[in-house]
Amino acid sequence: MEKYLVIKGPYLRSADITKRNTSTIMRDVLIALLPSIAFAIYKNVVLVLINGIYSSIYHAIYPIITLILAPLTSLICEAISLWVMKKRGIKTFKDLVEELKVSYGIFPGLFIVLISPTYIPLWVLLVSVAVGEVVGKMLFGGFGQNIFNPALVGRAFMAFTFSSHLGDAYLTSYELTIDAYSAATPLTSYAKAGAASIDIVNNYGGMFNLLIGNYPGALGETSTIAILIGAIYLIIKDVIDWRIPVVYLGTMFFITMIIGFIMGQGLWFPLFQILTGGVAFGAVFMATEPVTSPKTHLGRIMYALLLGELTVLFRLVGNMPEGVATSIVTMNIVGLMINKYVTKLRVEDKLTKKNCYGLVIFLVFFVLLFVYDVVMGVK
Amino acid sequence: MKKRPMPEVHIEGFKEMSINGKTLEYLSPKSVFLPTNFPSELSVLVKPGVRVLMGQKIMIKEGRFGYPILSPISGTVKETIRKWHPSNKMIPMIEIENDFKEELVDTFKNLNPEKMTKDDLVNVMKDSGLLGMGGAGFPTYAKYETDKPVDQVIINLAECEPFITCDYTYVLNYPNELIFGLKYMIKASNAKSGVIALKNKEINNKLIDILMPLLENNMSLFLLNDVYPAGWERYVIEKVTGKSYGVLPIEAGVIVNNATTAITFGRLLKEGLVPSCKYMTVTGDAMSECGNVLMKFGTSVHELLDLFNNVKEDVDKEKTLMICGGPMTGNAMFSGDFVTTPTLGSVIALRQEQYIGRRYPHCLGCGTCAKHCPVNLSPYQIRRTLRSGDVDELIALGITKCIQCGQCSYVCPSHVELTSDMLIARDLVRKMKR
Repeated sequence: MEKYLVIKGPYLRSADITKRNTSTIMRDVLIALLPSIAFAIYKNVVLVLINGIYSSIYHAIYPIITLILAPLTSLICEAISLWVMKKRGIKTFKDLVEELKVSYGIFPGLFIVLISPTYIPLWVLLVSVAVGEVVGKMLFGGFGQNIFNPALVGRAFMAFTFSSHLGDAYLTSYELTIDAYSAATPLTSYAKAGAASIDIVNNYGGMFNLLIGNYPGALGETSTIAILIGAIYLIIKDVIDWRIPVVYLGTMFFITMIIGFIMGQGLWFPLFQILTGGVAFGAVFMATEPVTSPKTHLGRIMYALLLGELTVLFRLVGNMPEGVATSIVTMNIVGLMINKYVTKLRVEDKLTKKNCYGLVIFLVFFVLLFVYDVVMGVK
Repeated sequence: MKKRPMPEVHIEGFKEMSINGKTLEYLSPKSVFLPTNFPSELSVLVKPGVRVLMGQKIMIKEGRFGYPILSPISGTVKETIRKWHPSNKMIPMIEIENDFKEELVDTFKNLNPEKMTKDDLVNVMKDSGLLGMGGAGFPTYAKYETDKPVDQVIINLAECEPFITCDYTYVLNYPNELIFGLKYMIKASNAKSGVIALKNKEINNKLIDILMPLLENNMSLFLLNDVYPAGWERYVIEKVTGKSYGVLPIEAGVIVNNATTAITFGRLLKEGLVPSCKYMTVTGDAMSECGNVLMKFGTSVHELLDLFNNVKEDVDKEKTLMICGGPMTGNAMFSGDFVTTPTLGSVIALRQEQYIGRRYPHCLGCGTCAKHCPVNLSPYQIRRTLRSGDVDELIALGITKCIQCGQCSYVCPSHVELTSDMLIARDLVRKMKR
């Protein structure tokens, strides 16, 4: 008797028919990162070479080296972890190669280098990449299983372990010659400044320059306009939900606007807060990461609202330069709870006295954090 | 909170393959096989060696919603043998050898539907063992035996699964019988009107042209969007009437019947032909030829595949799927030698060489499955919870609502086998509840 193949149904997959699958989604993320990478190379390599102020050619092209080595390290760590853990039926070398094709090992490394100071010592960067990749991703079970964003785990590790190496690493050799850049980045300038003043923006070439991104900062984070191009691409391709970046940035803008008004400042203050640091990059590429963010519209809005408040908290109240990374890692855990609650809410499809507890807790937290942000953020 | 609209996903139809293929009749199989314990144990009324007529009662399903099972052919009853059933199990079946005389029982000859009352019509449905032929196989009379007022009878002609065109073909060839069946279904339920719901797509224009002039005053056509699962009872009712309901469609004052069921009923009243045959689609890229065949219930699929020159010679069978039913909800069969049932609409042979041995990524948690679930579940979450075996949590996640439509697996970009995990979770919950 002839025997046919027996597998579980359904036997049609949109991933086969429409050619849109996880690999093309990850490829789209890579494409969306290209403007940011291109701008990073332009600002940190091309401009330095044009101005001719560099100690050695190695130093001049250092950003490119890190852009290559960090993803490579992350990929190698992924391969070693997979081989050691022998997960998902990996027996031969060929299995490993096939598995690497669908575990997307370069992403943690690529993200870490883009959100790190440009001239971070190579060993610090690579150790952080390894920690982010192994601790943040592989120990949880690999792609799709992680609770925290691996890149941000590595970045947070870097911030808390090697903080002494970070301060000076932001400026290119060309930027070091500019007197106005008293402190490293606009945010550290603001943290050091006694009171809020529009001088900070003017020191860094005005608001338009902050939008373009030609000021000291992390490698891929400075150009809001490049990130915006990537964001539009991702939203059109339906890779990310517009709700997270829009609500996140909206919340931040609104809270810092109130803080700014209390301090007697104009609209430049909230704009300054949104355009500098990792906010835009975090909003578009980090907070929206599918693995660690909630999956429903309501959940995403709740997540993004709290995220905005937390970032303001860490940044203005806690005076931590890495506010975005820390707040997203924190929200990864809270997001799990939000997602669980919203999932059950969706099953019942209506709000009753019994299942509104989550929304009530959320609102209480939201209001408390809001008040705390506004009261403590003023200086 | 506003009620979430049902997700609508267009699925590539692949229907042209069988529509452009052959349309055959194969009403004289050598023998037919009737399962004796499906869906549950049946009481057998005949002994081996006896000659039975077409339409004679062979078995009876006892209990609530019981119904008789009639012989689809006239011939001799043989010993019970084990055969493959579309549920992918080998179960005992009664074999009836055809004597090719097509001799009908007297019960349904010369029915005069004009003079029949509502109760008479429902009794005809009951005595003839008319089953819903869309897939669930629920006895039709049970829907009509109700005290509640019925507003509309809806004929479900959505045929939302890809590849399948059996309802389309039956309606194309027997449009008058469809209208006739609907007319007396309206009478049997005392409904005010009848609606034929079909998808708004190009291939259906032909059906619309044929059906339009035949419609009577209280009948109308309703065009559904070309999405999956448009043929789901709840979806059809929500679209046609705008109402939602708890458990049974009758709560919304609606009875839904499949188009093939209506035609079978129409032919029963008009010609006295007992429910014994329906169109089945044979299609797929591994078949030499595609098309539809009018076949008797219980025919061996082997004989039907031979009419279409069987699967292609160069096909490696171990890398080919023999799907019984639609590609979304059907089963892959071990063997091509199973028997047809009244609820079987199609046999699809699909080549799988290109997909075998491919490595797929983990679930990336994008939530696409949750976005497309017609009953608002979150399949990725249920799959994760299933690993911990937390039954209470599974119930809280609404697993009992799952309709096994296959949508979650279909839309998953990572090829995760969500639908089968959902089935495992649902079975686990049912077992633990007991």
